[in-house]
Amino acid sequence: MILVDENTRYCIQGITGKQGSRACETMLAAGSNVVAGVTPGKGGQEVHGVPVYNTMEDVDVDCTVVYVPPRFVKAAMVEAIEAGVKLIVVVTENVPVHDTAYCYALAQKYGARIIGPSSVGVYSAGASKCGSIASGKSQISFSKGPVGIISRSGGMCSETALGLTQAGIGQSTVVGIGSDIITGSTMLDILKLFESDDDTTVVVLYGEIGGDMEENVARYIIEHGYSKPVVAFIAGKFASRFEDISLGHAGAIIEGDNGRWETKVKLLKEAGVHVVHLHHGIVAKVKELL
Amino acid sequence: MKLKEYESKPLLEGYIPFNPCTIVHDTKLVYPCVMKVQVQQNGRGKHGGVQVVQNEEQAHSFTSKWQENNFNGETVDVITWEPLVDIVDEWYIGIIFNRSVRSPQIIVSQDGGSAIESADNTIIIVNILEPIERQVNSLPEHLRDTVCKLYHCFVDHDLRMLEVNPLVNGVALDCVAVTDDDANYRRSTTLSERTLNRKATTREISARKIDENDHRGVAGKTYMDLDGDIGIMTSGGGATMTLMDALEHYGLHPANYTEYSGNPPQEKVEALARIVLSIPNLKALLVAGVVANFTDIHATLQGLITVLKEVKPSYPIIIRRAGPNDGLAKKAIEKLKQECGLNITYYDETTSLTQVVEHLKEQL
Repeated sequence: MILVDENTRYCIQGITGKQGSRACETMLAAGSNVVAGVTPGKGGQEVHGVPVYNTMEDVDVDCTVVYVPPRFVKAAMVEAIEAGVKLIVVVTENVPVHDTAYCYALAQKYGARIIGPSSVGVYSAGASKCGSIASGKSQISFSKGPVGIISRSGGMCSETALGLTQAGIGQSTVVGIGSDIITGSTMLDILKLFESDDDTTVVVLYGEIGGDMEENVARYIIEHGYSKPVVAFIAGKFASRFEDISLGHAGAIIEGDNGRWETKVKLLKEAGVHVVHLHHGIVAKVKELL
Repeated sequence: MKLKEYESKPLLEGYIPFNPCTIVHDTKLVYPCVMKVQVQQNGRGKHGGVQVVQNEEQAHSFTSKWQENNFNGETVDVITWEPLVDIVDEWYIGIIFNRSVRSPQIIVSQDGGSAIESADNTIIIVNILEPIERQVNSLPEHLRDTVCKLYHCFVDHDLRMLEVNPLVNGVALDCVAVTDDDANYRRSTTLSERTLNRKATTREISARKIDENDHRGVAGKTYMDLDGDIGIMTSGGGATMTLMDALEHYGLHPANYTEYSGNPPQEKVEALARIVLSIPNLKALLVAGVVANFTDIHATLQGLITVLKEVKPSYPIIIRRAGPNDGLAKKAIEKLKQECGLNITYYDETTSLTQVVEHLKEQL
């Protein structure tokens, strides 16, 4: 598994809000070590038995999960980075792109990794749940096994895992990277982590139109090779005719000739990635490759 | 949102000089001048949307031409004029987010105009943590100040893209900006609603109003009318896109794009259902989403049921939903089916999201 395991100690920023408190509850229920929460001005309280602090300076954790409203995300991320947290998972959606860009640059400087914004979270089945992924009823979708999943869509993390689980195939770690214009971690960043992960034998990508994450994965594999089979589904073929319109996700946007479905699929195929054209085709393809 | 030229240029105020566009109906024209159609598409010059006019007769003929014709399918609502400027020393300056390196990127080129990609460009990947003034040394000296000011404009206005093309003697003759909608709360002015390259339709406007005064969940914010005949009420951005692709894969065409998610109250789903079911000539309705974490499937589907009871459509209705209270939801749908004689098929998580589209196809 990658990114999070049974030893990961978590903080939740915005723990006293509705979303943050629910994340705390579901993460604890899944056995994650949530050791602290941060909400400015609410230090001293407790949420589901987890102590709340005023600033990130007061906590010592491996990973912080950000649930504050969009306009406070930049400050929350900066505080976490400057406090030395090395993994920051931002679940909040609708974060201004200039804020994300600034925080990404700062994180690079401090050697921290950001996942998100608009990340549903990271889930290593049976070991650790980070964020909103695998909460409530959608837990039934996940099981422990050899497939790593990287998805630009939160909901499709669970649908992708569900098909595999129903076929008796579990997952090592499922990572929702979000689909904003700028994301703290790209598909390629996570794909590299899966390469050296002994628990993972096949990687599944859920990509979308817009941006160049899938192209960069393809170019990397063409240049450096990749030791594990990769299966990809790229959503948004139907949207090829809509330029400059975001469909569902801010980053799912075709700008000029950039981000087109055809280019992504062509390049991925050239790189030897197994591209399926219907989402439920992923299961049969993974079965074949295991 | 992509702004038109006459909406973009005012953003430059206080940063760099620009040749202001005046809306034709506002003032008398001073000849010779340049008349322009204000559309969102690029390539106005190539398609006759920009023209130097010498007198009133030419101005009138330009105006009436574009009042009668659309521009590549886009209605021309606004025509502007601006003083004619001699084009010498022409530059292209663009600022975008480079999504690979995750930083703003400045592109400067002398070969402006239509073939930017192939031109001999100077590219600066901006280090957002350092002042821009220290990062422009690769540019010709006379452009550095302009580029820095444009970069500040890009940051201050929360733009996703800012393009000046051409810049002539330090003055912007044309400009396009794309705003970051997620930063709209930092803006003092509101921007008008647009969909694709056309004005929003009645259904689109109504759908966007659903979320306006009620922030519980999302319903209809991204509603868009399309030209197919399968009504769509799906949940989640990724799932919706995946389903649209599956429809097209099976030769079916969506009548609309929309989604509802995050456990919206029944009334919001009802309002959205009312809009989707009002689309004329539907051949089927697809209601689908992934296994919900917290969205109450029974409560949200009640909104749809209310409208189905009124409209009683005869076309097939396919539902694929699972999540909290899905057992109750299934029962309520069965009851509705019997009471109203509707052609509804309910699937749960044991049938995959995209497989239900195959079943829909079989019913048509």
